Amino acid sequence: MRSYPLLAPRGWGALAGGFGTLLVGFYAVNLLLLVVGTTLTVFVLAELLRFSLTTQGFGPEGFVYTRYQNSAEVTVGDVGSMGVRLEYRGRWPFFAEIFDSHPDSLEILEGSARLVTWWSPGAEKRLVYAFRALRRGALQLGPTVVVAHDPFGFAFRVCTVENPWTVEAMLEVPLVKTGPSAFEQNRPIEGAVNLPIRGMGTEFRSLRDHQPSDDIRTVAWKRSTMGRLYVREFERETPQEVVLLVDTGRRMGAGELGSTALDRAIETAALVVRYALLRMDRVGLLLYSDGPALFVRAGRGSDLAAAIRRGLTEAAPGPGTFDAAGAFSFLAAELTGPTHLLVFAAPGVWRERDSEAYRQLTKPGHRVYFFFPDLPGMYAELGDDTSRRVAALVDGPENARLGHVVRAVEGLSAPVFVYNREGPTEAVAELPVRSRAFWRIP
Amino acid sequence: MKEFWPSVLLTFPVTVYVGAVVLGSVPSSDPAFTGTFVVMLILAILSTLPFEPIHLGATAGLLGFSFAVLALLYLLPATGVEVLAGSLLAVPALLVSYAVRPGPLGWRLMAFAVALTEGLALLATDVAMTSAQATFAGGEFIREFGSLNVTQVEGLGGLLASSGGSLPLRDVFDPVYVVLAGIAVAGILIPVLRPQTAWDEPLPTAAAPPVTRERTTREVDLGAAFAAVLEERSSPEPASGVIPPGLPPLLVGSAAAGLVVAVAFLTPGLTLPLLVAGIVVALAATIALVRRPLAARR
Repeated sequence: MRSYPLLAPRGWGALAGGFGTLLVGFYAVNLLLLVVGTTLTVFVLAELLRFSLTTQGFGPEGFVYTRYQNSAEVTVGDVGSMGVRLEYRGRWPFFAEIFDSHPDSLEILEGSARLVTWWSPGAEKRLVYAFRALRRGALQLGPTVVVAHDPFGFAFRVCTVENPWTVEAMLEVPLVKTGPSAFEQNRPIEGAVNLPIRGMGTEFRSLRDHQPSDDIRTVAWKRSTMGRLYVREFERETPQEVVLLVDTGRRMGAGELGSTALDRAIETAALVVRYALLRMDRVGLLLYSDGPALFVRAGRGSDLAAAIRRGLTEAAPGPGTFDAAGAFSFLAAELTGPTHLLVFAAPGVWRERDSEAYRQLTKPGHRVYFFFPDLPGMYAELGDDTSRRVAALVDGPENARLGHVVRAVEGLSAPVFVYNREGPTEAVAELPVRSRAFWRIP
Repeated sequence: MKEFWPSVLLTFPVTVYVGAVVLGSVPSSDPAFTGTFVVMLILAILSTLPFEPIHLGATAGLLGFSFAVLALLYLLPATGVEVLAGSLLAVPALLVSYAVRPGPLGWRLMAFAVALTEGLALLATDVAMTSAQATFAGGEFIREFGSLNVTQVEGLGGLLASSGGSLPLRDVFDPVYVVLAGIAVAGILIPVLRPQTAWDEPLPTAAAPPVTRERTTREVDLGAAFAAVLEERSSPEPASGVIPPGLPPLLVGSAAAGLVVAVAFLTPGLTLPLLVAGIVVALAATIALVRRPLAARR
């Protein structure tokens, strides 16, 4: 792509000043002012002409470029490195400003992604820098921008050297803000779990209504009455299956940069994944907004961990809104064994068909735990009373919406937790205590 | 900041010179004319100071004091016109103070050119009044300054209509003023004529990539090569042996100016037509140069 010379504000100013001086000189018809105006105008025009001619053909084809010393994956907070090597193959030297574009979520620690230099034909320039990823996500570095400008800043040409590079900023272990987390306090968690599995396990857990699909051998005949049969449930001693359903709709983008509802949900989800894998549980992931964005079937092993990690790293709020019924129907078709389903979502409404899909999903024995972000609570407290009062007006409808959804889900007897900008980690960690239904604490 | 004091020291003498020449003709019994000019000159110089928070109070005090002196002078009986005349004499200094401050280059150059023109007109007024042996009172000075400019405009009109006419500004030639004006031009242009970067053009930012893609390499530890590259950063200076950047256009500009001077001395009648033709060519060249950028801008 060919670049065009652009007049900088300085160039416009110099031209205007030159012509203005000439005009004033014409008014005075004085040689002194005419000479000053002529010198200035001709100087600026000659410089612009020289620059235009010597940088003709300035474009990415005039450069040979490679990246080296480049990190492909870093953990959030850790250091990566990047090197860009460019060789100029043009005919004329020029003042160059080289800039390797990068997102704000990447902090340059050492070196620089920008260089202002005199660039002779055949010379090689290198941008080398070490950076730290401040936030989770796929961070794009590049393209490298080369700005050729005349020595006085009157005009410049810009070309972009298309050499993009993606750095995956991964979450390793989410940070828990103060003190040992409830996860830590509750350790060690033993392998005993309490999802009822028909025909498996030995420890009696509870009775429940008989379903047509239940094995007749599990019926508790002594407790059953005419017209109402009960079946015995036993706790399974084998590893559990945990699936994380994360809403990637636009409402999850609420909150401050780097600590949105989605970011907080993902931090917690990453912690759950890590913990589940340590316990040898099977773990899966579904990213869903108005349709499935990514589904990792529950399993174990390093490949699965890497797939989930990548999915969580790259999850970003999309334009859609969360369709709970669609997500539940999708999972109802995909889940096999009884599963703990942790739902991190911000549904704007809860409809009857969502409830119906929930009932269908939980019929085989899956347990669902809801974590809803309090969207106004994802932002920092405002400083003064007036701002707080104005914010309360805006927050009112959103709080009413959340209240409606929470009541609807509680009506389904499902555990519901609401989290704010601190994130749902503590709520998840307290699950065993509050719901008596997740990992059991000794 | 480094070029601040040279700019001030190079640019203000020309305005001080004009003031001194005119005030040399003013009777010493008329302090309001002189006093106003001095106060305004101080104001102009003060306004160029790069304000630092610690000095702000002191500077504000000085400015307030200067304004109070001006107000007092104006309120004194029969000194209002003298104050106006002193202010008129100080206008070039005020314009120069704007020209040396940071700001849009075009406006600064225009302010400087207008300052030089008005300095020229003030000198012409002084010459006219001295030759007419007029009284150097404030009112007379302002009236003469106005009528001189009217004559200049009429003369330009006559020149365009080929009917002839007097051009009082053309006839002024003060070698000291020319030298000081040349020095002032250097004071304005020296901070400008140095390599600049296009900092004010926003650079593109990286966009979020699509979600799925394949990576080809893994992270490489920071090695010795990394440190070596950091140590040998490229020099922002041109390599020795190359023509200094900006010298060719400077030479061309000087040659053009020399040509104008030569034509003015050899065939004065051709100077204006030559300049008009030159301006037409320059305007055409400017339009040709900026046409594509305007189309290329997003």
